[in-house]
Amino acid sequence: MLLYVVFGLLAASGSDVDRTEKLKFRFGDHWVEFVRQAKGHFTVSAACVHKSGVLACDAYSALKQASLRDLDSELSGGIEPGAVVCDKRLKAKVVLGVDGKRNENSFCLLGDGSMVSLGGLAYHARKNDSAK
Amino acid sequence: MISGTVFFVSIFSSGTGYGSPRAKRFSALNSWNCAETAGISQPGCRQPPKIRQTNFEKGTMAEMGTLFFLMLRLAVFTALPASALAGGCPEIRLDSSDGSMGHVPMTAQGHVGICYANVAAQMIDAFRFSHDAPEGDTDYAHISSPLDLAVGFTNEDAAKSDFGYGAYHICPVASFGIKTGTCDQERVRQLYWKGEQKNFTVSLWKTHKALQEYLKAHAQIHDWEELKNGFRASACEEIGYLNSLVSPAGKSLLPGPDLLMNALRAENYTPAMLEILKPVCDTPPRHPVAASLHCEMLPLGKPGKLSPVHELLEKKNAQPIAVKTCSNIMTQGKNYRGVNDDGTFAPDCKKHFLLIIGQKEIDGKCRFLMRNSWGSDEDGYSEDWQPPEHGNLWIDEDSMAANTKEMCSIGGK
Repeated sequence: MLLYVVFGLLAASGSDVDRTEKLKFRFGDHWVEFVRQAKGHFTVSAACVHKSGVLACDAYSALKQASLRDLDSELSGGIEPGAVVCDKRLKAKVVLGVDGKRNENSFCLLGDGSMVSLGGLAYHARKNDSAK
Repeated sequence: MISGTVFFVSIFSSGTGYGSPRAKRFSALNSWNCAETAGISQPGCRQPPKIRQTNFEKGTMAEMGTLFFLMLRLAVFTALPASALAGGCPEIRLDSSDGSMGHVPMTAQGHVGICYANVAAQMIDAFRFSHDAPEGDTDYAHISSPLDLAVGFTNEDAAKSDFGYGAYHICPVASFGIKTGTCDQERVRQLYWKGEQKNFTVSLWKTHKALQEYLKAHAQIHDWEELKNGFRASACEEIGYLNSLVSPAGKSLLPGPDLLMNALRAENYTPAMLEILKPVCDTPPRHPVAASLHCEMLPLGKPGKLSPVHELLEKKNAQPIAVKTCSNIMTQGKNYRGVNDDGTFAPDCKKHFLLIIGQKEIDGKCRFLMRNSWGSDEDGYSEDWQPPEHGNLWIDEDSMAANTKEMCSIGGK
């Protein structure tokens, strides 16, 4: 019985804490660190995380501006929805990174040099659109 | 555990299809006499011992027997993964270390609509890496470039000039790669600065569109030189941007302004892309692909199922299977229906290509492991398919069947 209580408490505490994962991608010949917040559904440049732990950068702010509204016709040829948000809505650049195992991932490069994953942008675009 | 699973599957699932009643599968376990179970007398079968029993003993033994078999069933159900019970959906992963996709990394198409080329390139690499020479090779560092494949194929297929919006079939694209060999994606990536190769492509396309608009607006000017100089002046920002995207190493490879302008004049930017890719893809020569490799279309199977997929995945050295579908299935979830009853795509379907690279049973349903070309990102997909695995998604077979229009696979002759 006690074991169930302990396991229950552990499970509850685990679900409240967002799992943060560190990732690295290569752009050209230099590597950039990222943090992925699974619960928040996004990956942003590690440089966005300030000493206080607060996230502050253009890439993080872009999640709030993301929207796919009126951009449906742009989604042809299997284009990543986040790429359309980046290019058309945010007027930013889509860039391509490669990890240590040669897996590619695309990011949106914002004005201050920070980057956010296209999947994260797509998720938040749909979330923002459904909330309006 | 796996060998145990295989053992139990081989015992219990023979002659039973996906979703068969469990009672039928376990009937043999309840029978003491195998000859009776089979309904015929079999030589060599162990006969039940004849023991005289009291009524009490009979009752107790019957209860103990029932209890024993209940415990045995419980143990079997606990030990077996659900997939083993499914019979037709044993767990298979082509992306495991010994699978054909084990060395094929994830690709990201960004905002260039070349999903068909990503799928074709991955199929070629899967075959290469899962076969010994001369059919295959173990040069895992050479990943076939989808961009090079898309540009080369589009150039050959003159009817299609917008490779970025291609709605091709996979087999002709894969066959083109088999014929010409493939270019190293790492070399293509290094050509560009800050990883912006896709932006370069789009920027070139924008320049092309800008030229078209300029020509339309200046239709009265028939002197090409005059047109060219006028356009150069009006599009200098775009051309300058193109130059800024190219790495120092790539600058010497960038076609001169005249070549670029001539390509743009032809209202087709594919030749310019070919010129850009030529130096990195032709020297050293493209990686050869076995000529014996061929691509073939597959039947879809009965409604609600993608029947040929199970058989193909269970084959020795199984290869990925390409499907023409709607990307909506990944983002909108299991209730999306992209293919109408008459076989046509629904108007809101965003046509896309994916690869089936595995199968297993989840929550009583057979699911396929789908390899997408949107990078290793795990966000942006429907809650129905959570959690993704580094950009691969487990999608219900019936959902895929309701959203698939074409299937094809490649193999040796």
